[in-house]
Amino acid sequence: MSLLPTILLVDDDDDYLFVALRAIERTGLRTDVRVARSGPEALTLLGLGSGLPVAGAPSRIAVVMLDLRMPGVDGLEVLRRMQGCSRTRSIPVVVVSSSDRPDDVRQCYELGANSYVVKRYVAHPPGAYVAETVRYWVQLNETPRLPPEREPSPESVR
Amino acid sequence: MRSERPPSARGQSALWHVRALPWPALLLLLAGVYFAAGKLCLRLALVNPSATPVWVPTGIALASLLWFGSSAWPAILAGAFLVNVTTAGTVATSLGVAAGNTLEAVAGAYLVKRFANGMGAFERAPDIFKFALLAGILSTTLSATIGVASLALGGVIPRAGLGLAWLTWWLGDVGGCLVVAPLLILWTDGSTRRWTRAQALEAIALLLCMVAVGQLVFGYALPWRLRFPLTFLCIPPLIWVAFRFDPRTAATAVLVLASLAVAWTVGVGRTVEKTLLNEALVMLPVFLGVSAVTTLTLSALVAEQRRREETIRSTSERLHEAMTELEAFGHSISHDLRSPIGAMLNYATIIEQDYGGRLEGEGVRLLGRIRASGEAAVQLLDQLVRFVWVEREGDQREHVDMSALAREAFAELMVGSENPDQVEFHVSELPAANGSPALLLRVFRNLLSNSVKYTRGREDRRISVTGIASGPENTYVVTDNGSGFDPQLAGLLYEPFRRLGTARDSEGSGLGLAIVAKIVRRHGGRVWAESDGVSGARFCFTLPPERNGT
Repeated sequence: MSLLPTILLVDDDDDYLFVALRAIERTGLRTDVRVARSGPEALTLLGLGSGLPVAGAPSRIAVVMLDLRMPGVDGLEVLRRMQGCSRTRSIPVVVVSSSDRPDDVRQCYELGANSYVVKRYVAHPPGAYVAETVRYWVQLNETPRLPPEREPSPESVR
Repeated sequence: MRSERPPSARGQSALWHVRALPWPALLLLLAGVYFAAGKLCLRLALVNPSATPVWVPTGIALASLLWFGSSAWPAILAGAFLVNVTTAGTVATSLGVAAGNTLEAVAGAYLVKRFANGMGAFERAPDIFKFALLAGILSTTLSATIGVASLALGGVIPRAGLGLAWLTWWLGDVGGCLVVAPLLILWTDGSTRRWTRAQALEAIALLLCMVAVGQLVFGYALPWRLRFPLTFLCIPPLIWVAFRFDPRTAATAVLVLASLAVAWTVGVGRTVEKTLLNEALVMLPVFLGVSAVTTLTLSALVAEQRRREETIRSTSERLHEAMTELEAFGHSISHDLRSPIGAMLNYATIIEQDYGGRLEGEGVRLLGRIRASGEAAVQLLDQLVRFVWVEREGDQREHVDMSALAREAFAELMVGSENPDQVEFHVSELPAANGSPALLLRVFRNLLSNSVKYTRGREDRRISVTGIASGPENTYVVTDNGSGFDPQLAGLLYEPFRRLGTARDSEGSGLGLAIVAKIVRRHGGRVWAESDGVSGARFCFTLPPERNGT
C-alpha cells in the first residue's frame, strides 16, 4: 500500500489525462497518481463500487480531480455517491470541467465539491492549472485522515 | 397581393366526386338540382308565383358557376326555364326569366372571381363585403329586371304591381345569394373539421337557442306587430356562432335562422292581412341578408384571428426549437470542438518544450504557428459560446450597480496582466441600470479588454468609464486613448463576424463588440462608437434607466 498522497484523476479524455499527468509529474511532488477513465472505475477506486473493495485501493486520497461529463455515471453522480458515504465525504473533490455554465458550478458546490476549475486549453505550460491545483491540495491543504477501512465497509456494500 | 390556394387544396369533398362526372351528366345534375330547389321555393311564393322571400336557386347557381366555371351556364338556363315553364307563363316569358337568372349567376360569378377572391370570398372580411355588394346586391338586379320585364311583357303580372314585384324578386334573389351561396361554398372548401363532444353539445344548445328565438320572433308566440321590432333578438345567437364556431357553421346557422324565419312567417302569415304579409316578405330577405353578411364577416374575422394565433404559436414553437438546437450547438462547440483543438494546442506546446532542441529553426517557427492558430481558434470558440450564451441567459432584470460592475470587470482583466498599474483606469459615478448583472458585466469586460488591447504600446494608457442619466435612457461611455479606428468604419464595428482587418479587433475574434451590441439591444438600448482615428476611441451604449420601485 502506497503511503504517498494519492491524486485520483477521473476523466474520459485521453488528451486531458496526458497533459494533466505530465503537468503533475513536472511539479516534482511525490504523489501517487491514480487514473479512472469512467465513473464506475472511480467509484471502485473510492471503495464505493458494486463489488468488494479492490486490493490496492488508495488509503489516503489528497484530492479527486473529477470531470463532469462522462458517459454513463457522470461526475455529478460520483459526487452524489461520495457524499452518501461517511468514509468518502471528507475527501476533497475538485471538479475540472470544460463547462463554465453557472448552473454546473452551482450544482457541483451544492453536491459538496470543494473547488471548481474550468479546463484551460490555452495554458503555458500545458496543464499549468492542473499543476497549480494539485500543488495546493497536496502541499498546502490539510485533509482529515480517512477512517480505517472496516471489513467490509457496510456503506460500500449495496 | 392575395395568395390563391392551389386548386388541389379545395374541393376534396363530395364535390370532388361530382367533378369527376362527365360534363353532360354534370350539367344535367345541376339543372335537376336547380329545378328541384326552384320548385321547392315556389311553394313559398305568395305575392306572385315567381318571386319568393329567399330564392335559393340564386345561391345554387352562383356557387355552381364558381365551382365548375361559367361554362356551366346552360344548366342554369335549363333549370330556370323548366321551373318557370312548369309554374306560370308561356315558353317565351319562361325563357326571358331563365335568361335573367342565368345572366345574374354568370355576372355574379365573374365579379366574385375577379374582385372577391372567388371561392375564397368568405375567408376575409373585405372579400365578404365585396361579395355582398357585387354578387348579392348588384348582379341580382339583372334577374329581377329581366324577369319582371318578361312577365310583364307576357302579361303574367299586372303592370300596376310591377314595383312591388321587382322589389320582392330582387330581395328574394339577394337573400338567396347571401344566405345560400356562402353556405355551399364554405361546405365544399375541402377542409375537414371534426367537432369534439363539447363542441357538439354546444352546437345543440345553439340550435335550441336559435329555434327558441326564431319561434319568439317569427312564430306564433307573440303578436304579429312585434316581430320586426324584435328581430334584434336573433343577433346574440348569431354572434355566438361567429365567435365559437367556424365560418362553415356560421353559414349553416344563418340558413337555419332563414329557414325558420321564412317557414314561420309564411305559416303565420296565412292568418294576417295580405298587406302585412307582403310587408313582412319584403323585410325578411333584407333582415336575413344583413344577418348573413354580418355573421359571416364576424366569423371570418374570428377565423382569421385564430389562424394568426396558430401561426404565432407554431412560429414561437419553431423558434423555441431553434433556440434549443442553438444551445446544443453552442455546447457542442464549447465542449466537443474546444477540447480537440485545445489538445492539438497542448501537444504543439509540449513538442516545442520537450523536443524543441532537436528541431531546426523552421520547425520551431511552424510549431509556433500551429500554436498561434490553435489559440485563435479556441478564443473564437469561447467568443462564439458567449454569443450564444447571451440568448440563453434570459431576460432577468434587476438593480445593477454599473460603477461596481465596471470596476469588477477591469479588476478581472488585470488579474492576468503582468503590469496592471500601467493602465490608468477611472470610473465616474454611473447611473444604476435595470438588467442582467451577468450580461452587463460581459459588456464591460469586452469593452474594457478592447480598450486595454488598443492602448497597448502607449506611454500613458488611460481608460475611463463615464455615464449620465438623461431622460428616457442612461448613456455609458468607455473612453480610451488608444489607436482608435477609421471613423468611416464606425457602423461596422458592432456587426458580428466582421473583422476590421486594419484597426480595432484585428487580432480578436471579431465577436467581442458584437456580443456587446447584442446584450445592449436585448436590454432595449443602443450602441455606437466614435473615433477620429488617431487619439483614441469612445464606445457608447445606452440602457433604459432603473424604474422606480423596482
